[in-house]
Amino acid sequence: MTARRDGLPGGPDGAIAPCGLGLGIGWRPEIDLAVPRLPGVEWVEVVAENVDPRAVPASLAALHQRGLPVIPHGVSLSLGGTEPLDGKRLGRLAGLAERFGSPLVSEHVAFCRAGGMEAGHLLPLPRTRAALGVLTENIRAAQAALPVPLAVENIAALVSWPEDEFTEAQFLTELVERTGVLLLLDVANLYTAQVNFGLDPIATLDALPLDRVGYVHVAGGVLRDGVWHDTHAHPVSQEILNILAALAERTPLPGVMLERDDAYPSDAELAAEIAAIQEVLHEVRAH
Amino acid sequence: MRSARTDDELAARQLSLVTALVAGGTPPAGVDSERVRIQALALVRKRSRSVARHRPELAAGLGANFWPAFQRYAAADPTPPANTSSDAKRFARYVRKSRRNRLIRLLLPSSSRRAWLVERGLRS
Amino acid sequence: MNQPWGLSGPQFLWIYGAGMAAFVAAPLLLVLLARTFGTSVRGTEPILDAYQVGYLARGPQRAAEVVIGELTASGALRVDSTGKITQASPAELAAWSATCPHGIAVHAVPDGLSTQKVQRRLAKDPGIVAIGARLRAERLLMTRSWVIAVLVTSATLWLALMIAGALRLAEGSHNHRPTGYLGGLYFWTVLLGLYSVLWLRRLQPIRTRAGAEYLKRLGQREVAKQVKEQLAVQRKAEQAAQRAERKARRAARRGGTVPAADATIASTAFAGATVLGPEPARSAPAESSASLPGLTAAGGEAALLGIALAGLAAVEDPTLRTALLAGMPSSSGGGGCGGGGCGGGGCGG
Repeated sequence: MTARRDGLPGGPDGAIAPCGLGLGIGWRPEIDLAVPRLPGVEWVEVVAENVDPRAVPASLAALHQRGLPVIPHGVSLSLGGTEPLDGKRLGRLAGLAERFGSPLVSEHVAFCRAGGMEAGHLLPLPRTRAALGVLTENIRAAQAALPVPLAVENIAALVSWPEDEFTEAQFLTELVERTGVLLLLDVANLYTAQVNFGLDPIATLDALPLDRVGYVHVAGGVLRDGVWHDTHAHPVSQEILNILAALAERTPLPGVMLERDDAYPSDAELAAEIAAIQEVLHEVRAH
Repeated sequence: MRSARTDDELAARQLSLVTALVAGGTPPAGVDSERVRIQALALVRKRSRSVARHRPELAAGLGANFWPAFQRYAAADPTPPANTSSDAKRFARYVRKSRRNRLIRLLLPSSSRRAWLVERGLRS
Repeated sequence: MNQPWGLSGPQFLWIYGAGMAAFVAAPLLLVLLARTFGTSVRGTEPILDAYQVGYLARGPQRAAEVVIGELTASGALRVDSTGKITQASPAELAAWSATCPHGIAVHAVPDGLSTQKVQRRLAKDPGIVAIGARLRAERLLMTRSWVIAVLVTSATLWLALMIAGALRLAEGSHNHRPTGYLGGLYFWTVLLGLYSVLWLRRLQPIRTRAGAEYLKRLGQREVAKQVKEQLAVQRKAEQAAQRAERKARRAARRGGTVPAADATIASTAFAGATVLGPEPARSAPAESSASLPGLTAAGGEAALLGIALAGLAAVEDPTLRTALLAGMPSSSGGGGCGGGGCGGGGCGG
């Protein structure tokens, strides 16, 4: 097969390219019957904490049996935290990767607990050398325990630390250099940084090692109190699609997925959201 | 590059943010406290959405009052329990208690009302 | 020897037994009368839509099932594989409520409830309650006055039995007369009363003769039978797939390899779903052989009538059907029929 620019399937039979995932969506129990019916969906991501590899929901198993790749996505490993990694959570990620034969698993550049207290949410790390050291060590430990490559996601933040020494791009670049970890690039979170901290997403894209992108998240949010909240419960805005276009122009994208966690719209609207992403990617391909 | 001291500093900074968000602590030095307030509120909203999904009839029964009631509940005890089902149970208990309190307030004159509540540990 | 009330023991027992038989028979007789005399004049029945037919067939809950079946098929309501229903498109729901002749407020039902809970809530909706009132007004269902007559008669008879029996028992034990048989009958009377109350709670609206004939014309029996057979076939297929999967697992384990990953049952249950294709046709014409008088039916209406006559098990799309039924405990066929008498007097004395 000839190398294609964007890594998306384009063969006449729509077969999934061996190097890429294609268009995907976050699998959620509430929409488990809708996902198989959505046109254009070629793979799914599942939240690792919500799926037990020994007791996979029948609807998810059916999807997998039909040949759709399933990628486990962890939310509570707290890779940026100073506490040692939880073996059980790592085991869950590894177990799911084996159960589904996933090409990779993903987590976040964040912490979600400290001093034994759970924050219940992904919180940004201070981008210091010390934090980089902690993160590097945790990621190396995780990579050793996982049977497949690991990708880490840039998170959406409302607060920032005064002691930041790196920009997000520098931080992630350094991280990739030290650990060889892949990147799960969330363009909605780049937009969040733009609104909340005035950081230019294009500049970030230009400074990131884009050849290390494993796949991409696209999600909707809302402006509230003058602050952008990455809710995953609103339609994807045009600004976020524009960042996706900019990203697609710079590098072939192995996989792009829609993230929706709440307030699920009708099947038609979901399909339209996916189609909008597809449209952006095809437009880029055409030029 | 990693030393115990820098690790401790990082741990302390992270802990101070977490306590500011879910235990009513003061925001870490140098961090925008308004943003911390907004983040904490966003966390409570996220919890309320999970509880509403877990107990749709409880949420629907409260209607427009669900979000204010949940905010009051979270303000009284900001640390979220281990999982959504415990959170939902505690919230349900909170709602029941406040309904009972309101009924008492309606029925009793203010002096005996206060004594009644103090006696039962419902107010100090 | 002076007999209490001028009746000997055995005589009283016979009378009491007759009273119990009357208690059982009277309501049935009254219902029969209601069906015949409380019915509509032949030929004056209106043409009923699917919601009304549903109510006629099995009360407000069946009418609610028609609503659920219609809106989940159109996608305005979403159901997941465990049977939880959420509002996928409030705009579509509002439009539907506006055009629905009965004005059923579906949007008032909270998100995330199981099929059965949604069904129960909708059954109380004023729009559906109004359907019942209309059907009673049209004399397709037994009117309230007849129902009250039946209830009052039964209650009176039961109370009479209770009081008379209690007095006689008191009399008997006070005078040290044998009360064994009467005690037995009394016990059964109490049980009958309890059973009747329980049975009443499950009772569906009772059809008059005209109502029954209307359903017969729609071919309800055939449709219900077809649906039942279809469901049985699906269940058998699922069980067979489960057995095959267990066998494969055992074989793989014996062979020392990692057991085969996915349950083939999943593919049976989700047979209707396609991965990359367009959305499946929503209102395929019903296969039921019912001839529908007066209906210029689009395929959609015929499908709704199927649900009206046989419940959510009649939903055509197998994935949707499995999902909706998952949200309801297995709906067994009809509630109990008339309180079968037990009683029987014995000779006492």
